[in-house]
Amino acid sequence: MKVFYHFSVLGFSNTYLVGPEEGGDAVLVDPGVFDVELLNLIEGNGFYVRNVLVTHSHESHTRGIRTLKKVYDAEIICAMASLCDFPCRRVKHGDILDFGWTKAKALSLPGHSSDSMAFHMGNIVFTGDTLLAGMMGKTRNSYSRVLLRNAIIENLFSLPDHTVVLPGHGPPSSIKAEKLFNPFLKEKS
Amino acid sequence: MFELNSCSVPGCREPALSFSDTCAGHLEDPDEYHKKLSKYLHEQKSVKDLCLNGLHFSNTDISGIHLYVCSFSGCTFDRVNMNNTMIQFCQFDFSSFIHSVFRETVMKYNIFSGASFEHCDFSHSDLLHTNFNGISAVDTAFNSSDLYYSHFIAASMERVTFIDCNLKKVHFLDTRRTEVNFKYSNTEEAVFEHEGNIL
Repeated sequence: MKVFYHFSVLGFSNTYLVGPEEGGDAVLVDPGVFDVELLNLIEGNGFYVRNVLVTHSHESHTRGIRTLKKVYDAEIICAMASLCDFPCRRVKHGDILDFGWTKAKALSLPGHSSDSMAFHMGNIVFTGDTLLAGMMGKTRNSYSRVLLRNAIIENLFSLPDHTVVLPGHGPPSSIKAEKLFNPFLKEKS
Repeated sequence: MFELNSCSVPGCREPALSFSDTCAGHLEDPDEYHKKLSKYLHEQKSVKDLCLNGLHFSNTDISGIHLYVCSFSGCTFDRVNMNNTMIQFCQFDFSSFIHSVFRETVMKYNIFSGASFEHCDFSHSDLLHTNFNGISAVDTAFNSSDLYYSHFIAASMERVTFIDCNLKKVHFLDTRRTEVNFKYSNTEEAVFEHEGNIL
C-alpha cells in the first residue's frame, strides 16, 4: 500500500491518496482542493482515482470534488446521499468497503458534524475532523462534545494501539499516543 | 508504518522487523542484524517502508538520507547524526534521542509523540506537520526552524530553545515549560491556550 499526503492552503486541510504498490485504482480521502500538484501526484504514481472517501461534508474537505469529477469517474463514498450535486454511495457505521486491493470499514463519529465518519483501512484510520493529534474536533455545544468524545473512545480507541491516525488537519498520530496525550480524552480513556 | 507483519514467535504481538521475521526482542543474532542494517542504511540514499521498531542506534551517521514511511517506534538513538535528512511519514514515537542531531533536515508529517530528547539539535530545519505531543525534551534546540502546524501538546520542556522560529499554527496546549526561549519567534501565531476545542 502506498500513502501520500497533500496539503491545501485554502482550508489548511489534509488530503490523502492511497493506492496499491503497483499502481492502478486508488482512493482519495477528503479532496479539499484538486490542483495541479495533486493531479501530478496521482498521475506520477500511475494511479486512477476510482473512489473518494469523504469523512464529512465541510467545504475544506470537499472543495476539490467538482474539479476531480471532471478528470476521474470516481465514486464518492460518504454518509450523505449527495455531495456537491453528485450522487454518493451512502455508508453507515460498520459498513465494509471493498476496493479490490484493500478494504475499509466505515465508523460513524457524530459530534463535529452529523455526517462525520472515520475510515479504518489496514493499519490506518482516516479521522477527518473528529480526532486530531492531541485534540478533538470542534463541537457546537456540550451535548455534541460528549457525543463525539464517547464515539472516539468507543470506536477509535478500540483499534490497535499502533494504528496510524491520519486526520483532516494537522500532523498524524497513533491511537496509543492519543490515549496517552490527548487532554480532551484522557479522563475517560 | 502502514503495513506491519507480526513477529513469528508464538504469542508475540510486536511487529516484525524488516529483513527479519521476528521483532527486535526476539532477534536470534542482534549484532549480525545491526551490522547488516547499518551497511544497508549507509549504502542507500533513499529508504522506504522499513519497520525498525525497538532497535538501538549508537554513534551512527546517516546524514543526508531520505526516509519515507519508516517506523522507528521505541528505538534509542544515541549520538546519531541525521543532519541534512529528509524524513516523511515516519514514526519515531516513544523513542529516546540522546546527543543526536537533526540540523538542516526537512521533516513532514512525522510522529515523535512520547519521545524523549536530551541534548539534541533540530536547528535550521523544516519541521512541518510533525507530532511532538507528549515529548520530554531537555537541553534541546529548535532554533531557526520552521515548525508550521506541528504540535507540542502535553509536552514537557526544560531549557528548550525556539529562537527565531516560525510558530504559525504550532500548538503548545497543556505544555510544561521551564526556561524555554521563544525569542524572535512569532508566538502570537502559535496556540498556547484552549479556545473551546479547535477548528
